[in-house]
Amino acid sequence: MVRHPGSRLNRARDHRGAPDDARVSGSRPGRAWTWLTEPLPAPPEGLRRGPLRADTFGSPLRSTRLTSQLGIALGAAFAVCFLTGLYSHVLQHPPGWLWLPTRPAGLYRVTQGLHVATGLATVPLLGAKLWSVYPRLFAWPPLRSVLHAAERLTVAALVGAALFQVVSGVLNIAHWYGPMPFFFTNAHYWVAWVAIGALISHIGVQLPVVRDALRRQRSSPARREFLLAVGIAAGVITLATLGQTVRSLSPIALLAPCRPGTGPQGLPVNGIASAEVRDAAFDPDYRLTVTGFGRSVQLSLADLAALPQHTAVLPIACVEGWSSVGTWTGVRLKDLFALIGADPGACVADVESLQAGGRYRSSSVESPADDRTLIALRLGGEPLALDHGFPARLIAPNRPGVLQTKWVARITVRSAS
Amino acid sequence: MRRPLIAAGLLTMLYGILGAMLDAEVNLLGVIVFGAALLVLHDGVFLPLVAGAGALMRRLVPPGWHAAVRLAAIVDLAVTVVALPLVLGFGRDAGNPTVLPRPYGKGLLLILIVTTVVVVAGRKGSERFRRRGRR
Repeated sequence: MVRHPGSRLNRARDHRGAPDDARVSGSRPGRAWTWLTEPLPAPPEGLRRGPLRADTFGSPLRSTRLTSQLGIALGAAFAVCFLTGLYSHVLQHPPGWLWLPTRPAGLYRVTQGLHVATGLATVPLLGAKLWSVYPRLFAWPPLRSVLHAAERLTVAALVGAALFQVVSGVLNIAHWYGPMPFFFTNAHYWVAWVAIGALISHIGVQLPVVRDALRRQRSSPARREFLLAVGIAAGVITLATLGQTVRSLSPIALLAPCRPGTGPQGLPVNGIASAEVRDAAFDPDYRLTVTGFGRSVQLSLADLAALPQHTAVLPIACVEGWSSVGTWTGVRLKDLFALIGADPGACVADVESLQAGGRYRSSSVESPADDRTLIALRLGGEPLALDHGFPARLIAPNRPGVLQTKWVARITVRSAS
Repeated sequence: MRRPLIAAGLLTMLYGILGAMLDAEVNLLGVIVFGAALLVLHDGVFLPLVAGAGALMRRLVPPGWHAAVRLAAIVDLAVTVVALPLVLGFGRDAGNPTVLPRPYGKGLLLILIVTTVVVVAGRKGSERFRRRGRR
């Protein structure tokens, strides 16, 4: 190790006397630990003004026990959001080594509904938790040691990331992208790792404090009522929004950004057809191309309708947490594989839309042999509405809505691996 | 138990930070500015207002009403935060009526009125319940 004369480390060693008399601080990790934990000089007392004074915050409700209880609930909510969010990410970007089930068909609508509902219920929890520790922001002295500074930096990252996740999620389900100077999906994904990592570290740091507070401190009626109020707030938010995926709650879902059962053919739509897509979809020369392994077939809408038709009742489950069930009729994807002699058990399909561009113009089907994976032509017995993907769309079980490609123009079959 | 947790957490954070830096579709500056702006607005504007309102409430409202006012304020504030982007309605799409289909301003107002009325009306009952619980 290079020694800088006058560095804090050396001062610490000088302070302790001869370098070799302290067994712990003599070793390299020991010295590093000393450097990390040595008290920093306190700022002059004259700077201790405003909220930095000891008696600024007067609420009788704050206690370490209350903060611990809120923290445990918030940690559980973050864990649910992280795991369900990770599942949604993996479905959209499947790693080759991971096998993902297509059953139960409604699994994704449950996990993503839970993701958004838990995230919304987190709003009062996070608010109350941050309120309960607000005086600690003005702790005196602000930085006791290098380690304390590092811990405060991690807490700042945790608070910033937590606010980022909750606020960006709320803005996203309201389709209000203006305030977010970034692409929501990827940012929400990576900041989730920062938030959950900072949370795990925070748990590690605070574990003894929480244990002690829950064991020794008594609760008070006023604090119980405060916790109850936070719980009621979360409950009211849940009741006012869950109807976007639980149909029976739809009539009281006053704050749900989407309403199942509404829209063309009784099904909501997130992305509507552009003028180019509309022209191409209604063009009498429309053909669906199925290609792969050097073979290729072109199918008109009449050709598709002449193939064996199958019906499946499957939900459209949006990443934004809403879902709505439809009765879809069309050609099984594996029957289209048979037209070019491909084995659906050993292949994957890339399904492309008539759209010229856009993030979701194509998607891959990893389990094309599934009986309920359709190129649907009809919804509820009628030809698809344009905004549902006329003339033909992909519909498959347990799949995020953005991957249920609409206005299908081309299916490319390739071997899985 | 504690050191592995702290280390695992820091490594997880690092993974998120590196991932965001290497992801060409993440505008890193935008993410940092947005997160820092939220932090500053929350801790520098929102929480001082909440703490100030709490202090004002303790001074002006008779103690017997504190619990009821606090309950109504917490529920109404949380619901308003969730509802605000919907009420403002910047996400509405003229071509797509299934996005934000409801009158959210009316919905929010209804929830605020109902929760406040229920809390005020239920105050006597909850008082009685509380006294019984203490015995």
